[in-house]
Amino acid sequence: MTRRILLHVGTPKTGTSYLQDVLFRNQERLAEAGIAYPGDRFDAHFLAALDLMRLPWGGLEHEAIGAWDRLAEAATDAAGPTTVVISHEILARAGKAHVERALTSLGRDEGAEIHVLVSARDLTRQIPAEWQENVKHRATLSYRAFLDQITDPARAGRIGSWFWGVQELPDILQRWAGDLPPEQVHVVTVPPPGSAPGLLWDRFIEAFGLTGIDLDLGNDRSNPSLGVPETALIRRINQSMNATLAPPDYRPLVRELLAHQTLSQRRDSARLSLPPDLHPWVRDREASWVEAIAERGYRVVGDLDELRGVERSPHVYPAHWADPDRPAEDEVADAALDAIGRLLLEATGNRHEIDRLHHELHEARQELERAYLRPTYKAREKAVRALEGSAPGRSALRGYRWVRRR
Amino acid sequence: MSPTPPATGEPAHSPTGSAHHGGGLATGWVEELAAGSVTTWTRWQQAHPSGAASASGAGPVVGPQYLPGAQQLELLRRLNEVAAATGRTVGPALADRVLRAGIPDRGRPDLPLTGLHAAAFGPEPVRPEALPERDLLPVAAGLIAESLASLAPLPPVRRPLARRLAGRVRPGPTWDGDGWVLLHRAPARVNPYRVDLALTDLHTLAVHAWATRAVRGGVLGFEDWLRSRVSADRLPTSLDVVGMAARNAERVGRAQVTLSFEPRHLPDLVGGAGLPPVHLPTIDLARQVGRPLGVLVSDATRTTLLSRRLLPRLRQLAGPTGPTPVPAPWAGHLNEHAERSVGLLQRAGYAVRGRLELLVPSTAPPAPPARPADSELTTLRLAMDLLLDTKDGAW
Repeated sequence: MTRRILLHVGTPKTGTSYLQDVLFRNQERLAEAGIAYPGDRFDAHFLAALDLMRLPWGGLEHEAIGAWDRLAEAATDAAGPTTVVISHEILARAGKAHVERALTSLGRDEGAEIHVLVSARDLTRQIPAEWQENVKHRATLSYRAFLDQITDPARAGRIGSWFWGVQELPDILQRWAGDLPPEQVHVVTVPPPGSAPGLLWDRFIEAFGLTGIDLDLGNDRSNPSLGVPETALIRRINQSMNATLAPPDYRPLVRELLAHQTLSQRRDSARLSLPPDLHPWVRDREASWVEAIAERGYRVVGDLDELRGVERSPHVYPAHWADPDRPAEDEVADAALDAIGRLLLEATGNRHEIDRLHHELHEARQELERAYLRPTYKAREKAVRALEGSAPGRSALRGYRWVRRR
Repeated sequence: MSPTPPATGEPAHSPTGSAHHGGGLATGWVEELAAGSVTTWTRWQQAHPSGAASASGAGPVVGPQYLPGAQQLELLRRLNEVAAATGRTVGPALADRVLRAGIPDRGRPDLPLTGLHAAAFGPEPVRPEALPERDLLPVAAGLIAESLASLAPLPPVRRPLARRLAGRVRPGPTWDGDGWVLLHRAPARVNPYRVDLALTDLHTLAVHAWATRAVRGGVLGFEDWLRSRVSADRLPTSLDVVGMAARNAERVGRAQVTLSFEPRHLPDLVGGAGLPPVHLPTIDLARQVGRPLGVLVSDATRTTLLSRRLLPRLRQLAGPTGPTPVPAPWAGHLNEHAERSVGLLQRAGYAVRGRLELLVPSTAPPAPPARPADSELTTLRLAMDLLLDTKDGAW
């Protein structure tokens, strides 16, 4: 029976974290339905992507050694289900050599039926979202500097090169699916703001063929977005602390505790959006992408017109555009107060934990001292010393310890 | 609804040879390069104005079915150039590896060639011969990393017993089999009640701090590292001698901390001949190789492979080198930090072996580097020499 490989290769910020969380949590139920989502940890496909592309990722790459080959081996396991899902959004960045290695290892040349899936959101929302993601990964560049880099036709800088690598839909689809019949290429569009909450998930179900499977959907693990003053605050923290705060500390403290758990809860602040001067430029690109994808005849789950963000989402642009490079300082100060408060609570919790551990340690020491004072301990100590003084004694001691497994 | 199966059930991939090479013109050039040609893409285009050319007509004998990026093609052409100029050859195995190489890390993606059917999307086409060295280095670094990762593991180095028992000396981690560097960093080791901070001038310390970071997965080149870490009012922890001494004094007592500046004492402290000179292109190549190597081997193995396999080879290739000067404006910033630090350390009253003023770098103009000024060119040349000299399995 032909093995079907459903290869979901992007793009970032399109609900992929939630999809991957559901797939991982439901591995057994999927397997019962004849679908494999291989991997022994929730980020197995991310690590495999790092390995495939030889992509360092703040030290996580050490956990990725051999990860792609393991994933490919599991995906092509003859005893496994005949449909296999592989999903990670950074695969969008893969070059020709990486794609070739991936498709070869997944059995393309042995007759496996490769399907490439891309979930896509309009550029209008992707541009500010990508800058925010950069800021949450220690970036210090301003929004305008980011925009300048991505609008530079040469794409010579790291920012522009990465952005278009993972966002330019027609190019991603060409790299991954250039040789595939269009019916094996699937584009899932992300609904516009204000759509029904479950609509994107319904589209994923349709695209991946998960209809009728009773899945545990859990909680939405997607990364919540930050507003304008909150993103400006994180950027200032990066500018101030990057030289001293190591990446392993930055991740839990700044990205998780401050950005995701604290500042993203502030929902009343202005949202990040495109500056008005870029609307025509973005509108043209969105139109050209929609046209190219429609021409190629790919299967679309959703509506390609949803990728025309500038045209379809006028409410994304408030009357007064909030510039994150010149935020309202009182709003940033307000966000900073929330951040300080959260850090104080965290520090308080840590202090209590330290006190508790000190107390435990103190009790353990006292217990140890009491044990040393017992007559039986003293007698045993004396016997050991006496035995250690002679060769036969030492042999006897070794024998005793061997017997007692000490 | 599940994805629709194909109508024919045939394999999705059907190699079509030259068609993947963007037509005969590019196919012909790839064949030429694989056969050792040094002709640039632009000259090849000019020589074949009709747009169709194939050296043999039989399709490429090495390389993939698709047209590689401009970076891989230009690297192969430059390898051919270096090989021809030095009486060496680029064997088919190496040519094949170059053409099939992916671009690791966050380098620019595969770049298309000018003059072919232009795609409406993706990066702009380029003339490969105009690519800067920094676009070719990731490809070369990825190939070197794969070679290193395939080598058999080395036995662990045991430090001499006398040095392990020395106790008072608390050198930092090493990146180099020849000697200890980053002497000023004190790991938890041996005698916890006495600390000798072995120091030298702040310029040298900065160069070694970067070099140590570079071979442990560092992202930044020397200037970028200085730019992000050193300013008029900021020093990284690894160069903050005042803070380092204070932290140790808090732990073991001020009287137990000694600042050692004796150059003649240094070899005793660090073993061997003391601090090895840092050759910037050599370390920078190790840094660039270390990035993809980190996805292939563990952290510890990476450091071992870079310090004990790669760096000795690169030193042979680079020949004698001078010290690495710290460029402006960071040289000035470091001088000011050093002068401030001397005052603070004097007031703190630590025991000093040698003169505390040795922390301040010499004001004499730095010696010119032994290699050409263009560091990236030198780095790429080192990488190409290494690739040409490294036969399969014979490191």
